[in-house]
Amino acid sequence: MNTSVADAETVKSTIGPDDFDWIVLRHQKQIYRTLLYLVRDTDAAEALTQECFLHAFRNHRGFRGESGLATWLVRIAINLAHDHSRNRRWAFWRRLTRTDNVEAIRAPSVQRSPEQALMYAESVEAVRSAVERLPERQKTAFMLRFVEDMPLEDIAEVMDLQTGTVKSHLSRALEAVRGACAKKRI
Amino acid sequence: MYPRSRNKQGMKDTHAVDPELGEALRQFRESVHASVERPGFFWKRQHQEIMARLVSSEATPKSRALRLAPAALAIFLCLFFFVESSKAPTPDLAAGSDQILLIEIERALSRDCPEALDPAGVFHDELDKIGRSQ
Repeated sequence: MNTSVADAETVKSTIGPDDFDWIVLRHQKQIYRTLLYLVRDTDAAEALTQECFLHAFRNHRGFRGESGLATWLVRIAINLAHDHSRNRRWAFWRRLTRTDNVEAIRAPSVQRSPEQALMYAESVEAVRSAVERLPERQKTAFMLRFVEDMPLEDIAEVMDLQTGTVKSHLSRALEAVRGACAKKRI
Repeated sequence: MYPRSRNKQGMKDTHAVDPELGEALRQFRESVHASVERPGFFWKRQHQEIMARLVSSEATPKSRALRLAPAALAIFLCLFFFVESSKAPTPDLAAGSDQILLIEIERALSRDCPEALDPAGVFHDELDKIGRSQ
């Protein structure tokens, strides 16, 4: 990451239209990843990523620096993803295309033996399928915590929940994932 | 991404999981990140598209207002005509009151005595009947 950009972000408590060039550059990947994970549709994730930055741009005066810029953007992205999920037309379409329009979660290009690769794939699949079955809030909390490495306080802010509630969601989500992993081993 | 130091407390709270699950979660995270890896041109194109939308949205308030003006005018005219047409017809009070007054005058002229003295007329008639019977 560019240090000057990081410093600028740390210091800034307000943002202006001119800042959006570096804001998009710096955060588009995380926003896209969050949205893709939540909506499971590459086209929708791309469109919603654009919407997210457009929304942030239009409401940039609402950013007062109480939360981090990433937290603010992720919050917008999650709201957009939830709106998208509530849209029945999209929900129908997503059901039809769920497995076709999203790339399978794949192993990074690390050299592994066939046995290791198989174990890796099984482990990832066990977690993925368990997370897929989680209720929306648990899934979101899990994703923010274990995929985005977001601190609990920020997750609470993004999801508009108490930190204790986030912990409770995470605990339940982990229990489900633990169960799925244990089942896979049997 | 979030600074590790800031994240430490949260990690303590929820990463207190057994090593096997911790490893599964780490692999899952790694695979999700790998699944959204895109070539540089993808991010460049997306950045350009987003910036183009931001610029166009910045330039639109005036044009948006202009675009909405005919619709607003049409709505205003519809409301105006609706309100106008739904108003109850006002009676022609002037003409009506003249006519009523003329009728009243005609009735008063055709009476033997004024309307206000009707009870006295009845009383007079009664007295007249009694006197005649006696």
